[in-house]
Amino acid sequence: MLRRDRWALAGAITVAVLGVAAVAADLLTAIEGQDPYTYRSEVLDPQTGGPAGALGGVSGEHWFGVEPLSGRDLFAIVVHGARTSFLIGLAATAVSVVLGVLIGAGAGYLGGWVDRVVTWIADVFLGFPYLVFMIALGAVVPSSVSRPLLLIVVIGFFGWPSIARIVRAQVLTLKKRNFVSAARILGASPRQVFRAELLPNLWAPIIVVATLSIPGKIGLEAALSFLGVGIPQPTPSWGRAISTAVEWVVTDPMFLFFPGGALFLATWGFTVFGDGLRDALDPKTEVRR
Amino acid sequence: MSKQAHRLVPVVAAVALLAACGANDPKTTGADTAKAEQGGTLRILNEGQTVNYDPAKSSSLPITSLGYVHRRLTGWQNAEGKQAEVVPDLGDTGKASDGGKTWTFTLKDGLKFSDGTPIRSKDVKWGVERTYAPAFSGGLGYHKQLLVGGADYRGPFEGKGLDSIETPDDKTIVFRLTRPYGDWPWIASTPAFAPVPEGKGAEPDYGEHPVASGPYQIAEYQRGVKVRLTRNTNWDKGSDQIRGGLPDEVLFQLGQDASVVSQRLVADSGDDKEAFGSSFASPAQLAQLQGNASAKQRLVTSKSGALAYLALNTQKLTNPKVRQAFQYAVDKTSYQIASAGSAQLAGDTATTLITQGIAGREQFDLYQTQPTGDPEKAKQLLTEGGFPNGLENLDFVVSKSNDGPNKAQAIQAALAKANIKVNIRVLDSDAYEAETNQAKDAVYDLTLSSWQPDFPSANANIQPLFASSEIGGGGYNISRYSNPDVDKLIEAAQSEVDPAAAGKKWVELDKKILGDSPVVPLIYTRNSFLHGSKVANFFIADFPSYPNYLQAGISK
Repeated sequence: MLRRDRWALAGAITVAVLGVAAVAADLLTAIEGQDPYTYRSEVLDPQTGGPAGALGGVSGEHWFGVEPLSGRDLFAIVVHGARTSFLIGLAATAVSVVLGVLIGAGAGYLGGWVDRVVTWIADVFLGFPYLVFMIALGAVVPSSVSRPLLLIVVIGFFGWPSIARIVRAQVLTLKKRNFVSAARILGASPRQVFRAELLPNLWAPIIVVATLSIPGKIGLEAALSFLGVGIPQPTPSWGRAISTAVEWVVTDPMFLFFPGGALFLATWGFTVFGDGLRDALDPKTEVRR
Repeated sequence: MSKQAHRLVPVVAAVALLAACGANDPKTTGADTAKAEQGGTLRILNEGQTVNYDPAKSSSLPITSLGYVHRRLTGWQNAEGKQAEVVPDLGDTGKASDGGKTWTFTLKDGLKFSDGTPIRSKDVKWGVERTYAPAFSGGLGYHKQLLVGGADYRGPFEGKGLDSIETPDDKTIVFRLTRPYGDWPWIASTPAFAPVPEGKGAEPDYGEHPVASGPYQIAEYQRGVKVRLTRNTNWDKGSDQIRGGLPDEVLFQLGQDASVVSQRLVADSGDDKEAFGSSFASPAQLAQLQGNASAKQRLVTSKSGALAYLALNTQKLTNPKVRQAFQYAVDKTSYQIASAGSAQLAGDTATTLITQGIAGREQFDLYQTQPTGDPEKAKQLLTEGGFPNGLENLDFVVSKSNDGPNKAQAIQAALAKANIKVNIRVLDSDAYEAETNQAKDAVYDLTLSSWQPDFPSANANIQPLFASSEIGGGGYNISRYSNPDVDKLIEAAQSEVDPAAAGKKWVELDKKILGDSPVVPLIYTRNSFLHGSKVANFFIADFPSYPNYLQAGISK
């Protein structure tokens, strides 16, 4: 079905390419002969500290040029940054999905006061100024706590309400269906009903919502790194590279172009791929293309 | 006592002696040959939300913003190619007696406050006493422990004066110190020695409407927006050798974004022609200027400046061999590039604690190596120190301000080559101060800092950073270096009234302390400032590395 939707296909290919780059970052930089940590003053302009040569120092040796003031290889920073972004985006999504499905299915299936409390809490979380909260948390949590883990847990935690709401709505309709009622009458426990009857019918919406939430999470990690409370130095991160590059945009626009472009492609790719998935899996929203 | 980053500063001008400049010398004066003339409005573009005009709370240099409004007992005369001198301001430069324990100053004739009342020695005394009040702390406090009875004095608002400051008549003021102190005339140029009319200044916002003694008074003070200074008609140019008093008005525009300031000054249109920026130009801004001939002409860079250094916490890295390894492991070239893009804009690599331009300084290098470092030698020292496999997981704390994280990464990459693995921990400046200056016990292993002496004496280079009394409690001994021998030698050097003899003692201390390797000197940081095309007589002298605000004017 995806083959009929060219945009979704383009998104899927983009995501796949970036994903391969992230997984094979070490291999790719080894082929290029660089790494994202080594300072190289010889590739910088001795007058300004900016990259020597046109287009931010793009050459056969440095495919995306180099970072001003350090001479670190920008291609290496971008592909290793992809690894950081994908790791955090996907892991945080997994956290959101597990929490969201359990809480949403519980609320929908049990109903009553549980449902009311969960719905109310989800509303509170959806309106919560989580970016401010995360910045504050980043400043308070001791540095002995691993930052990537902290980011995954926090970003993942704040993602559960949107998934829980969709799962709850789905469960509310499912539980009135005859096959679920039959299972209950036959004496299946809530756990059995959930695993054998509900979950198989929930996968489609879960996959769609999860895919559509990945770009937001990648963007959130980049935003936190941009603000200096995300991934610590020297681990490459798109957000931090963009933050440094903003000041250089007049003299070295390519320094902003590559990490900025990578972030754009990743979020765009996941979004159109997710849209395509939704159209494919849910005939009601199908649009003619 | 104050870090360079906390200061608000400008540059001094002189007719450029460009012929004398070598290829590697920065341009320290404005490009213009136009003369600064009387009149006009000088605009100063400032990142901060306020400009502090309360002398008790100020750490401002005698040649920058505070000098517009307040005179002090003594002042600084500085010019390019000359060492800064202490010169008379309100008073003379002081006479020592009792072997340097008693200092007597005589005030000039006919001095008046902006309200027309005469400036008496009692008003200077009141100003000094006011700095002891807990409500008005935060300014430079070199005098606080030195004056007899200062240790437990709590300011004049509790009804008691400080008896060690005597005012036998309206023109004489005598200071009695706990020990001989040769640099007292320099101490008398700190903001605490600005006069405050006796009995005034009890309100917390005195700094927004102080009684002026300098060429300007505050006409308008709007936090976060502007401070407008207009002429003080009771100021007499004839009695003041350090202030030009050229512009009719000085206007501070507050809360400006640094990059916007830079773009405005590069564009040089309208009122911005008469403006200069009070903060340092960043590396990216400097790189942009290289392609703009007109703006490049209007960039002034100091010849030298604050010592940037890597502090090694001697309480945690207790083995001197291990600390010495850091002297070889750092790459000063990559630090220069990370801080300003090139060695010329960043400043010379440093090997001594006493900064360039300080009288009596001696150039030496205890750890000779190439500027890019020698990781092999560092590894060898680590092995001798008992760490053949290098060091792991050292805690490297840096402040977010002043581009700290990027400079720290350059150090981190260099140390890694010598098998020293460090984790950078970035803190906001308040949290950073709490951990480094305030904390009784420090957890960090390394930190990055810079130090500009508060007055041009080796004393101000060394004592604040290495006396054991300056560990924690707001002191700046952030390598937590404590050596009883050094403490004794510091006291002996401070007691020396003869500057030449004192200079020798400080050089000895410089070598002795560096032998213990509590810090790695990195560079003598050059500061760059950008000004508009009509700002004239805008120059940075050899010391301090800031423009002289008081001499700048507007050309027609």
